[in-house]
Amino acid sequence: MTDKETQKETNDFDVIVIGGGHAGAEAALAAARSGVRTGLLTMDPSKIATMPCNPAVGGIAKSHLVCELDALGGETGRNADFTGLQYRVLNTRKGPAVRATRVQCDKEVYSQRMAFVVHQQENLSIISGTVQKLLVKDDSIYGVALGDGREVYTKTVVVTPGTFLQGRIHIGKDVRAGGRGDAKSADALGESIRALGFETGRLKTGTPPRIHRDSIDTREMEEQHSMDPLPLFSWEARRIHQLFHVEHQRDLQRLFHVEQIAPERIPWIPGQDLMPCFFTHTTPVTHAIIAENLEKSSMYSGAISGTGVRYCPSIEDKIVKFSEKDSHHVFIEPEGRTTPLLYPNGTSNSLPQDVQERLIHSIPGMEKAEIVQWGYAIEYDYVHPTQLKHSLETKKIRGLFFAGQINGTTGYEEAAAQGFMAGANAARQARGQSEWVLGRHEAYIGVLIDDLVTKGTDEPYRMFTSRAEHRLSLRQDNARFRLSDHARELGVAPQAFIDETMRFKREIEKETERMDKTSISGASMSQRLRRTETAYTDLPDARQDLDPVVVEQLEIFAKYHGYIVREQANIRKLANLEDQLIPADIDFWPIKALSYESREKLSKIRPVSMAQASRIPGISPADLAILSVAIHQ
Amino acid sequence: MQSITDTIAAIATAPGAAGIAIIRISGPAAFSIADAIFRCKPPAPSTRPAMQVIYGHIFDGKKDIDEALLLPFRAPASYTREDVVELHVHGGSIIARKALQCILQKGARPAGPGEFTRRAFLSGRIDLLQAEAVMDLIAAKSQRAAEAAVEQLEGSLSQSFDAIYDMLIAVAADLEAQLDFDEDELPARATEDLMLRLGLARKQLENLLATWEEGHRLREGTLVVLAGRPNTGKSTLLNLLLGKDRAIVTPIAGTTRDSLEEEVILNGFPLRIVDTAGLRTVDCEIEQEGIRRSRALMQKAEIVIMIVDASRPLDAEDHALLESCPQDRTLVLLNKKDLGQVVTEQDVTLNNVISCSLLQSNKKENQSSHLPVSSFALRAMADREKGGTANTVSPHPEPFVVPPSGGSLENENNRQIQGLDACKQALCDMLHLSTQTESHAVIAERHRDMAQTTIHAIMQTETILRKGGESSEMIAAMALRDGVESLGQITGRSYHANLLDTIFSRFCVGK
Repeated sequence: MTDKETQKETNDFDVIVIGGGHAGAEAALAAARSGVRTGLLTMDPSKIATMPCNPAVGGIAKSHLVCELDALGGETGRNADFTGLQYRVLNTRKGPAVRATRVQCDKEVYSQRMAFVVHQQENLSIISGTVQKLLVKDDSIYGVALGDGREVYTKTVVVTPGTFLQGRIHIGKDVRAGGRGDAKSADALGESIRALGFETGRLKTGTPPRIHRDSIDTREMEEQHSMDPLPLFSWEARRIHQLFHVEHQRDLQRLFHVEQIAPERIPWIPGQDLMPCFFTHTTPVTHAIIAENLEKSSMYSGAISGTGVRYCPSIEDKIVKFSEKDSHHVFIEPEGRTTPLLYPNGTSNSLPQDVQERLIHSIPGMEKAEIVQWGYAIEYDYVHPTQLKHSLETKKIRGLFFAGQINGTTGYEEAAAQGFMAGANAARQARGQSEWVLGRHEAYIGVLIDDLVTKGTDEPYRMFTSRAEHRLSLRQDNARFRLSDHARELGVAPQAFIDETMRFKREIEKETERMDKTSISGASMSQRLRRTETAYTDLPDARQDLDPVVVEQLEIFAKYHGYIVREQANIRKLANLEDQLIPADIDFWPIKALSYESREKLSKIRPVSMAQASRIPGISPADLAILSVAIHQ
Repeated sequence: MQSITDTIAAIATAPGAAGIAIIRISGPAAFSIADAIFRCKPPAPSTRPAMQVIYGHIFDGKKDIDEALLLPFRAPASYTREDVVELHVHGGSIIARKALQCILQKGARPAGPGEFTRRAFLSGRIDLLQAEAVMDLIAAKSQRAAEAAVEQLEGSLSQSFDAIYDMLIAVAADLEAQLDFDEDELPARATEDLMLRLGLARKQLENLLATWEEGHRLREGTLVVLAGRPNTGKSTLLNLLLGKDRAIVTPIAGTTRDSLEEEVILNGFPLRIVDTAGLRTVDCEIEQEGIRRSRALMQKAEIVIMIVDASRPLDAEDHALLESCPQDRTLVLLNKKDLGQVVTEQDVTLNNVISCSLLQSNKKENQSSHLPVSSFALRAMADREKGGTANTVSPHPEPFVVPPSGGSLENENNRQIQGLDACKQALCDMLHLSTQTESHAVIAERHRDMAQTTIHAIMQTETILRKGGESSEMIAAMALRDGVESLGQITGRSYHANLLDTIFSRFCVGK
């Protein structure tokens, strides 16, 4: 292209991010922090990273994603830590691999803090507007046309529309267009994406009614409090928490940025103003009410065609599919300190308002509950993610990236992880750098994206630890260590954090070596530490100066030594298959020995390696044998 | 690496004298080659419908080689899913070979071993288990073995493995759910319940594994070693079981110096019967080597038939020999009862003892009930189907038979045989060869290794769960995943896809 230089000058941005949700915020921050000119285009700049579903970040497998984001320089972990009101560890008894952190957040503060961070960010401009059309020429994106007629030019675009594409909100028989709560849907953007030839599908998700705090009787419920010590996602929050607990007041000034949103600039430290959550449950009466009114539900009356989330089912679903159970948990989560809203998790439904009211009133402690917002189901379009590369760039249009719910996922954490990856890759492309991808053996983020682009999904995709092959190596406690090389390469995470991680890594190596070599009455220190009941500090020759983070790594590695070694051996074995690359220009259609379906799948997904090909559903070992023959011919 | 787009050809029938021989051509050029070498009334074979027999002549370009029938199959409705042409020519290796030569000249390539079946597999017509079954079917040494292979071909083995796979996936789902969902959301699942189901799956897998032995016997034959001191009648027994003279039988002790192996079908199971050199202390080096081999074979044998001359008292050497026999694998035959039995069943401490009088049999009578199968012929057949080695295989010579002096078959017709049936019955009992003819799928070597890996993984899972403690569910799930994956390799199922489906059908969980 001869006009490359001209185009560069006419470009307003290197990266434009469409949408300011969890994916969009991370994408914009990752790109801007990489040092490229970034624009965040959103319908309502006051609503950044809002939480339309429950007010929690993390949970099993999702907290792995958040810790990995923190290790790479993402914002989600920090934002949750600094806006939390209840902090817990889940799976405490099941070992470090599946241990997880969950933080209940103050919704309003969460969104405000993220908005503040985004607005403060260097290289990042916020543009208010609605996208009318994606501007594409010669299969490359060059800009976006806005609803008011403006055009913005850019090298790359990250699209993160959440549930806004053709969003339709259902309450009973009532249907209206909308992206979330009262927000408008983004139908023009959806049409523009379809016009470019992307295949789309329809998904469904839902949310429960919201209850007024003063109208429930918590004496009927079980209280759940924060844990001590306070579990946190982020390095930054842990550091600040530690500093204040050891009363290093001298850093006070530098900490002001933590409490960016309070009217008077006093530091706010995680762990203050905690609030409890509550447990209650549905009753046989609840189930009878739902069963009687099932045909009034949008889900069951046939009004909704999208596929729902199996693991976050609506209450109608639970009662139909698990009819043998006469009670289900309802978890009451406060939405914030200043808002009176409570989120009764487990009662998501799309029933008419009168039925919702009776349903809620049949739950112990909520007999007189006042419903402030009605529950609803929302249907929206998603793009089949097999049309994406591992960088989340579309295969079809150069420079166009998709992230978040548009790719068929559910959850803030899944969205944020994709947003970060897409934003970082868009920035790299704008700067002429190579794709940046995480492997399945390196991160849950790698598992998430490989699953999406290889297998696709026909229901909202949520992360589980059982999706990861190498669960013992992908713990949340070692996220910063396993991702440190990537973090250094990207340069998005704080340098002090990366430096500290590198220092800890060297200490771990050094101490491991010493423990292997130092023998006390016949057994090396390492061997002694492998015993279940022995802690590092119990060892006769233990160093007293090691950071607890280092000690934790030493202990976990020793306790699970045999299993970790075995898993690492498996990873190396798999690496052989990963290294068997499939030429990017291969034409699968003439390989007649493959069935039509297999050729179709391979042509669509275009696996980069034999290992990826082996993960495509329906590709058999026989197909792989044929493919291997075809490649080596 | 062989290309998968060329055309292959081979003689598909066994060599030697036969009514017809079949030549198979498979690949994109099958029809153009057929048109070039087959002369018939128009239209040419390539324009005729599939499955229609065509009469004509094989034509080498100058003259007709033979009259022949042509059977066309069109892709994908053929064994290999490619275009296939079968030519039925007159039997006898010369004509078939000439015809094949013509086909090869027109551009076909001689098929490699098993290549037709390999193409059927690669084209997706048959799965791995079925491909293995085809190979077994071709090599089947007996009716029972063939039935087992057919069962496998029809997928009954896959069903057995699938059922166990489903059980394990359900346990894995329960374990994984413990890890992926908060304690509050899950019903408390007792470890005992998991242990029970794991034990059940393991038991079933062990039962399936036990069929390996039977399958191995069907495929490989059971090794039966005939042993005893010189001149007790070992070779006579071999000839009797075979129903023909195979071993040289003379009254001279030490006639058999090397081991002879033959195959006999007993109750549908192939037996590999080895006649060994008589065991005695000698100076002759050749005979010593023979005796050393005899002892080694006795160690390897699944059944040792120890033949004792019952017409004279047992001496120290006899006792030493009997004591060296494995108790549960030995059948003792007290032979030469007709010469006056001085050794009785009470004199022998082993469990399975039969008194008998084995002498050379009437050949015709025995042949009708026990067809001897020449292992040479079977192997040649197997090689043949495995692909086009026909033109290189030379006809095997007939087994070397020397009429025993003073003991030819004709002369022995009138002499009595006692105890041969009892001997066969005892063999059946000892080998647990059921007399029922009901067939069932049996597993092959490859399945055995993977099933064993799975059993090992299940046992590990059980141990970890029994021990309990932090991370026990996670590590148990890790071990079980290895097991389920290796089981999935047998039938080609995928752990992850099945696991999540199972979790969600079993648990009601929220976010």
